[in-house]
Amino acid sequence: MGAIMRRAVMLCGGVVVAGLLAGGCAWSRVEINDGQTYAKSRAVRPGKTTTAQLEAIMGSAPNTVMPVKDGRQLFIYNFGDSKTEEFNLILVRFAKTNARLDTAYFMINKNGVVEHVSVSNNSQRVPWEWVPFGN
Amino acid sequence: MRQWLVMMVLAGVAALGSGCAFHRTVANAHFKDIDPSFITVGKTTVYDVLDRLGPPAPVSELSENFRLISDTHLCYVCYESRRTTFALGYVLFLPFCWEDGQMTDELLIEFDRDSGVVSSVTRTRQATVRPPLQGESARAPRQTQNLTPGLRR
Repeated sequence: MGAIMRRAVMLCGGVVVAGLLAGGCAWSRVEINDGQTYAKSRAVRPGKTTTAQLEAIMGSAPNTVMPVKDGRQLFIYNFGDSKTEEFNLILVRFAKTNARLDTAYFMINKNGVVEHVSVSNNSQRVPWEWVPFGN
Repeated sequence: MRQWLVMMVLAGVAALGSGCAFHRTVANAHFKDIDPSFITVGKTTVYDVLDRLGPPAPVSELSENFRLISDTHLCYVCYESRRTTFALGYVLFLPFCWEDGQMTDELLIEFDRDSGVVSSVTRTRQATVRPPLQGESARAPRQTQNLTPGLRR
């Protein structure tokens, strides 16, 4: 009887250890808006491109239009990338999400012509990481 | 008898501990490293800043654009959250979830309304903690630093 009990305890312990150790990894990725926004913005020429041409180049209306001083407008396009890596054990799960958003600013003067362009490109190299601790 | 007890404890641990999850989200981590030392107070314009640093970007919702830029400021923000979930016995209890999310680094560059040049630069840092494993006492104090005196004029 003692041997059977010992075997049962070992089996149960083995199941718990296997539960702790078994599992797998998972990766998920979310691309936010048009990933080609940075490339498209290179075709915009300050001092020449009009509002209508800007929207044709970018392929859509801006995400945000903000009135600023002197009758100008700021057209804002946002895009980016978010990557989540998970390390899944049966009893515990570790995950980390790294997200980087980029912005394209087009300052439009009161005549409807692009005056200044500023575009970031930080979302090209978002790292995959799963350790959710530390700084 | 003792072996049965050990077995039940192990089974209990397996059942109750099923589903602890630790998740961390970091958005716009690259804005943590911004060095504003190139700014000359009273001379650097908004276009100079945009050409050097690029535009600010939201961390969660696109409506944040209105908070990040205006005629008088640009704001570069890094966001971080730490979430801990304990799903104790999937069948018996709903999961318990704790989360702490903070704007961990915020660089605010203000411009003079009339001349459009930089008038001040401020950096605010706020640490995150991991509740319930860490309480508010573990959080480092919020730091707001006026960087303007250290910049060129």
